[in-house]
Amino acid sequence: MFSVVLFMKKKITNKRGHVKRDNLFFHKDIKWTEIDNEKLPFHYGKTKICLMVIDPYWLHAYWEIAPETIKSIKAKAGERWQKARYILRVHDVKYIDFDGTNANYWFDTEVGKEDNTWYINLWNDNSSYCAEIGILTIEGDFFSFARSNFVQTPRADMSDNREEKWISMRENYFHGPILPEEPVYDKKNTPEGIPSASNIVSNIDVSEQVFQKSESQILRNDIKESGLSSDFLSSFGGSLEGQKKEKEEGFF
Amino acid sequence: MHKGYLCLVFHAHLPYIRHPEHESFLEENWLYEAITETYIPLIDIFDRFINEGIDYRITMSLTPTLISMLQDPLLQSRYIRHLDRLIELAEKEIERTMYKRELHRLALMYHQRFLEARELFVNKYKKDLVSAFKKFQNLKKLEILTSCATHGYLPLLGIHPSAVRTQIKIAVDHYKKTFGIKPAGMWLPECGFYPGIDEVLREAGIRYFFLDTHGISNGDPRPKYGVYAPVYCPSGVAAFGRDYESSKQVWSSKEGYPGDPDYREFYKDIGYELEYDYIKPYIHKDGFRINTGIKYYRITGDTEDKQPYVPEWAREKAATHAGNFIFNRKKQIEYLSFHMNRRPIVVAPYDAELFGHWWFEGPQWIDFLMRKIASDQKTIELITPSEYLERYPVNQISMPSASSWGYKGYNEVWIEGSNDWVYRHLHIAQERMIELVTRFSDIDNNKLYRRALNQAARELLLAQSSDWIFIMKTRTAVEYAHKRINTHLVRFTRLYNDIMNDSIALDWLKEVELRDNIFPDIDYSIYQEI
Repeated sequence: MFSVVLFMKKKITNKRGHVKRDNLFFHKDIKWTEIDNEKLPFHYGKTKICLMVIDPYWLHAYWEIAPETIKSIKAKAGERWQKARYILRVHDVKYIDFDGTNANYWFDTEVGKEDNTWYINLWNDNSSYCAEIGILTIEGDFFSFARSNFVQTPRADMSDNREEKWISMRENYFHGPILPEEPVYDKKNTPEGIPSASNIVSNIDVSEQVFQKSESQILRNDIKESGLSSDFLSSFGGSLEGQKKEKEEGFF
Repeated sequence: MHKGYLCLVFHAHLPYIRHPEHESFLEENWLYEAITETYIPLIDIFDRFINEGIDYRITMSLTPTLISMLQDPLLQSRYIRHLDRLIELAEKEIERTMYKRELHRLALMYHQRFLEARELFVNKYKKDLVSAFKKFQNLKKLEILTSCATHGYLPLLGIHPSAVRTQIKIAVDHYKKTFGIKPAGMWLPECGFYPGIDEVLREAGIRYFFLDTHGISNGDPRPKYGVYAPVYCPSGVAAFGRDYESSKQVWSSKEGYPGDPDYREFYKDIGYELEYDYIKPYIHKDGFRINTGIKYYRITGDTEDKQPYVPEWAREKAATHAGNFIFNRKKQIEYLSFHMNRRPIVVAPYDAELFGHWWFEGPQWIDFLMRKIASDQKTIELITPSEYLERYPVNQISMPSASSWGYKGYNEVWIEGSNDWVYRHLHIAQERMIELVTRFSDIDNNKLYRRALNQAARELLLAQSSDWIFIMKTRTAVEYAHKRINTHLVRFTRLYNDIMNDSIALDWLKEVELRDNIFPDIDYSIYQEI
């Protein structure tokens, strides 16, 4: 970066005329200097744990434990601290107003003292979780350093709920969430374009027809293989090596 | 009578890359390549449709970062410089290939294309391509969507709701300023959604957005019509789902059209192929080779022995593929309409830069597609989401499922081993921004503080771009991506510390403002906690 700075200064002072001629391409009047001397810190000195959803069966957690927190937990745990292990505890809190003790169930993963991230495998989709980072003593006592935010994992398949409510929205009354006074149509009350009880089609579940090959499942498998996804950034400029790799992995 | 609708959606986006501190900058080329290869060809065919009276409908997102770059005078001038060098190179190529007939005609073709691009950019649209898209929107042929302010990937920023709201709100304001109307629809970056985003969209006045197939089909309750009709979220915002079949036909590297042997090969570029001394003035100034955009070979097949490109054959294929696409949509719509008592809508979204940049013949394919739909058939009608919602204001209520259109359909691309380190820094910055707004909500007319706070908001937004994280995953321009995240977070942190310690350095601030000049009208108070 330093060499760039020198280069720029030279350009401005020695070739003033040249730069001026090109001033559409370059801010000639500004004395560009190196402005990013600092680096990102490794620690922020704040105790916290954050939980994020990756997919229906996978979470990611990162954490930081400030020295003061360790000190205070050490004081609480006393001698038990010596043989305690660092634990990431994940609580299933679906449909629960979690108070720290009332989880549906929880599971522990031992993590290293120096670790600060973890990937967590799950066996249920469509659930809610909260995580704690702490220590577990050999007596079985858990001391929490920090508790995370709550996350909701997505559903991995179609819902069994087939309730049908149809509603009309037009721009001129698009001003709020759907409220009971909005007209809600059921199967007997059928304006144009919505399924009706008298219509034979409504006896068939269209969602099964249009997804008859369990498309959702096929889709996911295909995405795994070919990545029907996006972003052509990888194809702009840059190195051909990276681009070719991308192509081997699968999209145009 | 038409039996169903086709809604083509092009998502045009590039991250904000503008380096006034360097006389030229490699990564700025992403914009220049996309202008020459995608945006100008699209504008050109849209113009021709209008001149020839061909009725068409296309839905297209233009992200605030892309619009800001397209409207930036420095980048506009630099684009012309870039194009002039390409024209010069093409002239040399005409001479060099004089005795190689097959290549010579291609050199002439590129030369002609670059000259036409220059004509359109400089003379016809006076360097302002956004005005071209605006014109098509005013003619009701094109519906322009907005996207998030800096293409932040919302599912992983959402730990602070105000970060999500800011990404959306700034985009909506930017759109209003650019197009003079409020946006009807939003392209969520990477189709990244979780329940709750719809509520923020409603607050911002957005009527609809798009999801990948499983976002809709896994919705609760299960949508009766799958992705072939939109659903209303409980907030009242409509969600349209991607049709898998039409995506795959165009997109898949195994079965998709762009892999046809007659189409142009992307990977054989003269920037890499020709003698170093000859090509040196047109590659990177430090001497490493880059793509120039001039490519002479066709895909040929699974072989290294590539054969020269034959434009007529490729054109013929583009026409055939457009016909095939229509044939398949007709079959699909006939099948669906039999099972539905309304006309199905097939939503086919693609990255705009697929067309022209990667798939060279993509714009030709669109050209054929629109013409054939307008004249050759009566089954499919092109439609925009707004028009659809006007015709079918009644839709089923369902809360879509959290999802994205990335690899495996969720968040994995944007949080994995190569990029997970970013989030602890990003989230702290979000927290600190909220802290700043709370603490400095009342600074009256203290201009220096206001400037510093606004700049902090800009730095945070730029750091949030999903692009940097994505590049780390794809391992392409990794060094640059790291540099950008670091730069913006470091600038943000310095601003945070300076503001908190009452030690704002004006000279430094001025320079940062000049470098990261996106969203000149930003008001930091938008970050207020919710």
